[in-house]
Amino acid sequence: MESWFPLPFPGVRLGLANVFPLLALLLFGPREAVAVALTRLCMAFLLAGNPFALACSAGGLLLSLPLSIALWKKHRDELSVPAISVASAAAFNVGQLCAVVSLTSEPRILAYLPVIMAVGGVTGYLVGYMADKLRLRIETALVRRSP
Amino acid sequence: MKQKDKRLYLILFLLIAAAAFLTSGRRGGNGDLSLEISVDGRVTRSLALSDTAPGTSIMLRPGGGMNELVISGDSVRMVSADCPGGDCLKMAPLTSERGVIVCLPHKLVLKLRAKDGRKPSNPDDAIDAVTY
Repeated sequence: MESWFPLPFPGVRLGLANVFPLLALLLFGPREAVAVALTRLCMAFLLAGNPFALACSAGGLLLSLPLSIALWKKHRDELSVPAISVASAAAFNVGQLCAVVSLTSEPRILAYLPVIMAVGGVTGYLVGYMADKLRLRIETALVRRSP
Repeated sequence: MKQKDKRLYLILFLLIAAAAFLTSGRRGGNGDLSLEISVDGRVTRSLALSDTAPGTSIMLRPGGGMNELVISGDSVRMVSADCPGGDCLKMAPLTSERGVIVCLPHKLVLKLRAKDGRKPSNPDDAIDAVTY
């Protein structure tokens, strides 16, 4: 554990920008969320030019998008937005690590899973909280504008 | 908090705990560890830490790239690389059998193993230069 702390895994980003795909899901629906997520993926690749980061994110999205859409569709009334976001973050982490393992054929990397899932759980909650608040503000602003 | 939130958090917590338990494995001592270098999933070189002088620097050329690692006593870290992200340079130094340093662009994996001194599978992939 202790040796993981300086930087547990390369390319660990907090993923706070995931607010936007999630917000798109809440405001518009699944298609728009997928569009926002894929656009963001492509833009990140164009800006950073790192095909390996692209592969990791793509692996993560492959799991997290379907899960969050399914949870939102079927369990919206029983699950809060932060909870959906936390689940989606966990799925993202699993997909991400699977991508790394398949690229390096080094299963030992899976040892990072619990760490990044725990960190991802916290940031996932924050992302969900922010998306929820933003949706509320945007919706009330829209209602006020169009009487 | 909605009604099923707690259940979801509990499931996730159990998953994390299970993952932590499954991946924890045994914890090797520092005495008899050897560094295993693999490229694209194949072990290309393995050398015992105890046989290596502290401060030894090793140059590797995995798949046309360049990586330099330094062995200092019982820890191994990557000190330079010409990959685009440079993520391997930021990874925590290897000190036990549990960690791993990965340079994804070069498909290079460094890890420590209980000493067994395995031979490189392909001599062409072996170390290019060792400096003291």
